[in-house]
Amino acid sequence: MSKPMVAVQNLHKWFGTLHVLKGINLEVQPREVVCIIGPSGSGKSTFLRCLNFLEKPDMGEIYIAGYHIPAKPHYNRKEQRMIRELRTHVGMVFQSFNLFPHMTALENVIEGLVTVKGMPRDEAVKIGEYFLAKVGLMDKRDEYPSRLSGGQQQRVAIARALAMQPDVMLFDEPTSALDPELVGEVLKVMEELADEGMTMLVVTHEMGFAKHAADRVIFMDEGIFVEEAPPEEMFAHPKHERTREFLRHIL
Amino acid sequence: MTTSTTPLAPPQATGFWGWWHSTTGRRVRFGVIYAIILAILFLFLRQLGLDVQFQLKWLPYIAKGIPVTLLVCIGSILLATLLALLGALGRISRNPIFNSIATFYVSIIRGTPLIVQIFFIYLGLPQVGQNLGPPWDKWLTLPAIASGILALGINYGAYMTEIFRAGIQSIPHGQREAALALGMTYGQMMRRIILPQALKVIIPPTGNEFIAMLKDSALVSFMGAQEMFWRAQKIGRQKFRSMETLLVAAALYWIMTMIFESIQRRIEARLGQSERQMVTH
Repeated sequence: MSKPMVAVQNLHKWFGTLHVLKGINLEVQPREVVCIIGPSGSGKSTFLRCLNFLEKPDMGEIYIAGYHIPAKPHYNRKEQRMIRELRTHVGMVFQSFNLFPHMTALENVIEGLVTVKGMPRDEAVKIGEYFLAKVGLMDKRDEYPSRLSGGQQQRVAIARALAMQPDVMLFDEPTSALDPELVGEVLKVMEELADEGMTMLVVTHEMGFAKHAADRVIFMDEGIFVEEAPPEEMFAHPKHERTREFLRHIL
Repeated sequence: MTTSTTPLAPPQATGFWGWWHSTTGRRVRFGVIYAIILAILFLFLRQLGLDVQFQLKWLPYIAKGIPVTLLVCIGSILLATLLALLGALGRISRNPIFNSIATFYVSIIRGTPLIVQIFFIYLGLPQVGQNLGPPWDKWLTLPAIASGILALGINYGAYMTEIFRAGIQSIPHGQREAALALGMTYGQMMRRIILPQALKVIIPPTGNEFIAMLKDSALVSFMGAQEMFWRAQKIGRQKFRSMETLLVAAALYWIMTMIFESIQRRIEARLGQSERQMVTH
């Protein structure tokens, strides 16, 4: 077996005295698509945000995109630089898009290339246009986010993450803030991405996407991974009572 | 009986009341009433028996203080902006050292009178310099205008720190996360993402501070900076015509304020436009 893209060992996270992640273990292989499902408040988003250190894990080890960083209460300058470098290899898509409202779609997409990677602007524009075209929004290249629908905004956000040419993509409930009729266009982009072999970790409530695109589905509840299985098995024969109950509620 | 027809527009009052309530004549109505108020003020001043010839004679001399006033204000607002930015970054910092320094700065400056701070810098600093000995005695003895800029800049910087802090904190947390997730440093995030957006929140109240500063700059006359108020006071005392010269100075301050208010309105209108273009949430 090849080296995993993501490996997490015994990850813990507390918010004050609230124990949100209670020892998570996970391995994700390159090109694998993993969906994490579970009730709200189960720690799914927190777990995802720990992977690129937007949330500081309290205990455990994280190995991602070739970087190995243990949880620590304080990171020195060298480690902080390593975390920033890691983030350029790990794309993230947020529930609320978080596009930069003072920049056009294209400027949003090339911002990381120009500012973080120090790429010359014309070169970045070429890459930016490629990825805008990829998410089907080349005609919106000079529009500000406020003039885009939610679905279009999220697709620009995906292009922004892809432009950095990451090794793995993290999706934090990418369709939860969308009107129902706009969910499809975003899922379509994500499915294409999965087909192309992008390594993806997706926190989602879209069971359809999980069924189609996921290689593996994980059910998370109360800070632990309760059950993991290929989607057919997870949805047809869930082993645990909690999984069964959750699936009964949402399907 | 014929059917009653519905009028195309609601019934309107005519005559004086029609004019009074008309929405189209709003500007004219405002102008007329404003002119009446000014006329009353003018009549009142006439009653004081002011020497208008004297005022006109000394107007150029007093107006020569305008560049000094502007220099002090522009210098001070630049210094204040720099201090406010540093102060705001300190106030939102989790680093206890930066945070404490910024909090201390805001607290002590807002907790003491501006005039005391001005005298402290003009009279107190040279004394500190004397005690420290050369070369400090030279460095800490500042000319009047430099002292004025320093004093007003430090003072307004403290008030503007809170404006800047509020502006920065008004930007949704997601912006910060999106910037960090791209691998940005704190500085890149502030420069490229947070501050450009915060500026829209910061600029209007900063304009207000500048307009307030135009008037507070009169205080630097206490240090002998030859700005408008200093000149007005000097001539007024000399010739025993203080009412005349002070009125001239007051009118000049008022006119400058109105000019900057109109500039401010224009800037805000432009900000409002780009706001409509960019607002997302």
